[in-house]
Amino acid sequence: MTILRLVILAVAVALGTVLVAWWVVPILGAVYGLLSRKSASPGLVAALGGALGWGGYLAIVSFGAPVGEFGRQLGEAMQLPSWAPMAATLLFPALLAGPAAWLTARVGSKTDTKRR
Amino acid sequence: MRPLGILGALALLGATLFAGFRGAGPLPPLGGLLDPARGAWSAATTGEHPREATATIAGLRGPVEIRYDLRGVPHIFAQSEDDLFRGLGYAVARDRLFQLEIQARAGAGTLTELVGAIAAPADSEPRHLGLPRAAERIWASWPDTGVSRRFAVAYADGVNAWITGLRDEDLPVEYKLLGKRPARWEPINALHLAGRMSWTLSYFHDEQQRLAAEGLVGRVAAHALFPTASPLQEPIQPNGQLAARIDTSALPAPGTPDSAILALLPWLPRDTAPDADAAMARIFASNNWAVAPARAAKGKALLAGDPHLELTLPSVWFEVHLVIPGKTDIYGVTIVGTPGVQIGFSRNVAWSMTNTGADVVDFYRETVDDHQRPTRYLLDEVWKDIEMREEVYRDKAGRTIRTDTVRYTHRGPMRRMGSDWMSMRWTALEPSNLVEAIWSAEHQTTAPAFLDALATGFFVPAQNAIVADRSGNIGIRSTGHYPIRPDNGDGQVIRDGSVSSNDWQGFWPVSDYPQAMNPAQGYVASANQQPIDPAVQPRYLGYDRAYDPWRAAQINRLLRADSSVTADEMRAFQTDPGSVRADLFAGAFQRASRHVLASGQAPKSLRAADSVLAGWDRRYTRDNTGSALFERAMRELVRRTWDEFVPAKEKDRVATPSSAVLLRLLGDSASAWWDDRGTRDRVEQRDDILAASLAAGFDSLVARAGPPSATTWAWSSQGAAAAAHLLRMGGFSRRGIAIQGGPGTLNPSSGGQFGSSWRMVVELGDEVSASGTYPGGQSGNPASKRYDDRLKYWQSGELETLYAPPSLESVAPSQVRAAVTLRPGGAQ
Repeated sequence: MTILRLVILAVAVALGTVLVAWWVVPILGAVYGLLSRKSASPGLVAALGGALGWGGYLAIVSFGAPVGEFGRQLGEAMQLPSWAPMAATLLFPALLAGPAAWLTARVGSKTDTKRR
Repeated sequence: MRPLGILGALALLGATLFAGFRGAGPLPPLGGLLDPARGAWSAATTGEHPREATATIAGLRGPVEIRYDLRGVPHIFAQSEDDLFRGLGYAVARDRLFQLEIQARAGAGTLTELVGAIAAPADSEPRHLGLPRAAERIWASWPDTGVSRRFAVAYADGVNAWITGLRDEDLPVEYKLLGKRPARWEPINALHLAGRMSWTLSYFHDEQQRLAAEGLVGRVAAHALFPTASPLQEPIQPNGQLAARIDTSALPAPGTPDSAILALLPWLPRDTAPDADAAMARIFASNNWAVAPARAAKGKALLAGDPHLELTLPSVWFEVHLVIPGKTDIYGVTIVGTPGVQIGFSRNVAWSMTNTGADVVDFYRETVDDHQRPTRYLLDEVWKDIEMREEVYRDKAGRTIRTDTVRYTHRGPMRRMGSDWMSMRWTALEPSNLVEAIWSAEHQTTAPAFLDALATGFFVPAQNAIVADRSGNIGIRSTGHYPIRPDNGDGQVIRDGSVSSNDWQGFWPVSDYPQAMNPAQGYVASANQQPIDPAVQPRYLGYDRAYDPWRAAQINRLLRADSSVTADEMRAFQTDPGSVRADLFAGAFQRASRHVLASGQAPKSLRAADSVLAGWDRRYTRDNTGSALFERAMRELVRRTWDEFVPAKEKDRVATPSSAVLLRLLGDSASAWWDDRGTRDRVEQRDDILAASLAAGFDSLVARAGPPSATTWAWSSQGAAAAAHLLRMGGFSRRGIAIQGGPGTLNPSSGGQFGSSWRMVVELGDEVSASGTYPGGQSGNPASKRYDDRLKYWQSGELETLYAPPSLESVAPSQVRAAVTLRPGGAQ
């Protein structure tokens, strides 16, 4: 079940980024956190979903575009290790989606407790 | 714990969002940069143009069709001139948008607005040279309906149409890394680019070097060692010789130092290049030549163009084909940002350029009212107001970060040197009309008409324009504005600015320009050598150190020896590894080393060095093991011979005579110049210095590369060409490009970032056939296959066949990679 939620979130993150913009990622993370507040580790799953969404998108487009080679060039151009741009690209959505999900899950849980 | 956890998560999310929207430290906003669909990664997905596209351009009078061929060259078909240049601007922007902006800003002195305060020193130079002010004045001098202004405006329309319709994913990666969007393209940018090019190609002034030399060795010696006439004459305008003429007469000995000039030395520049030619050869090594039908294997005129410039990625050039049915059919290369094709061919003529190296910069010592903050200068006993121009530097956000005041006399910008104020006159700061002149020339049908049309408005940077036509005419003319100085004097002195009689008296008439049309020798050639033999025309045009005689000697040698030239030989000549310089100096080294070896007082390594040099074929092929030794020996020779130009208690020379002057010195075995000032107990002669230089060159090479070997001594391992990205970003640059050629050869691009920037061979007849390539590729996108796909051809000296369909209807579908249709519409 967690894996399914992870995949659904990753697809939503990828589609949201392509159709809207990068800042949709924390919104999706927050929604996920709210909806999955009763599940285990919603923040961690959301962080993974964010990274998987962007990483998966790049993996798909790499079939028709030199993503890996360009990443190496980009790293060198920025005087960073060749893996750094890709690592940053996975880390950034994780840091957007993860805390957003964790926060909304906490707030949602607290509200649930109060209602009870 | 729980409130702390919430605070921590909020802080983490807030910080990430802040970095995403605003960036952090030197980093641009990370959201836009890392977004996999629209950020930097999109460079990888937009490397190829879509098969078909349409766009609108306001003001377009009819449709413009662009077909990209298999090499990525846009063939632009329009119905009018203005529409053609709208199409050109659009096509250039589509492939080279970031290059457009950064190069124009480099000329305008506004790089800080794109890359930040770090560029302030680079921006300061063009502003203090007066280039942005000159661009504004030249722009104002162009009539609204004139060709130059119309084309610049149309070109800007095209560029701005691309910018307006730009999707985030198409934004060049450099903008994303800088966190910037492209600025609107202004028509005047064409003039900023022209100014930048003039700065590279015509801002030579030897006054300060010769002055420094005068301080150290006296006026007579300085004038002999820094002459206006090159001691090696192989001029552009044929002088009837059957070989290069070498002056081997004795040079005057070093004279008494001039203490007044020595006091100025702290303000004069140091000459840190290993030899005077080294710096020039890296930068100015353009070649062109044309062969008459009588000397061509197929009986048709042949032309080779090979301009050398800084090697950058993307390249300075962009290859295009411009067609207006029944009027225009021009194929060639355009300097990115300029409305026109500078080198190329039509169905009737082919042309290319090399730099003339004329002295078109003069300095005047001004008398001012206040040495700290002058406001007036004296001219013919009348105080004149100094024009003050405030130069404002802004950062990426538009905030003012610095202001300068640049002062101007009627001659040009002023600079302070020591306690003096100098003003400068330079042809690059004066009106010209090169866009119109080139456009007009390209539409001529004969070689003489081409050269005459060019001379009407092409004033700076002076170029040796070579042309061939389908009727078999070949011609060359050093075209540009050449000042007439008072008393026909030379330009290597700093004149008194307080009298107007020291001003330029006008410019040379075109009839006096160095030139030749269908000379008896059956070919014409230029390679940045002295254009006209001073024995034929003694009027001052420039000075020896601004010229390079060696490539001219080599191409003339090759062409004289070949009376049945083919297009493929023309191609091979462009990377020919032979060198007249090596032939002459290697012979001298060998004679000297044998003489010293016979004396029994030879340095330890001289025998080994002599053995290597004896086996050297004097060619700069990539696997050659003799070239590296020879070049090290040459550096040692220059260092040991010209030690008189190192001021006391310093390490660097203030000036270095050219290698042609060194060649002249070889004729005098006992000249005082050979004496090594470091050895007080003996007086060295020529052979002592030559042998010691050869031995020292050998020792230094062994220290660096070990004993002689086929790998570590290979020429390719001693130096390679490099093409740096415009922002000098390592990952987007290409380094270690081992090539054939070295100093004095026709392809002296090894070991530096200057080199052949476009190679072209054209055969003219009933049909025109052409081949060419340049170091780089058509795309400015580092992730595109077309970013550097031509480097392999350039490196190996190969050329690609150029496809030039005369009409839209004749474009073969199999040759089309992508198509664009531009239609009228949209907002301006």
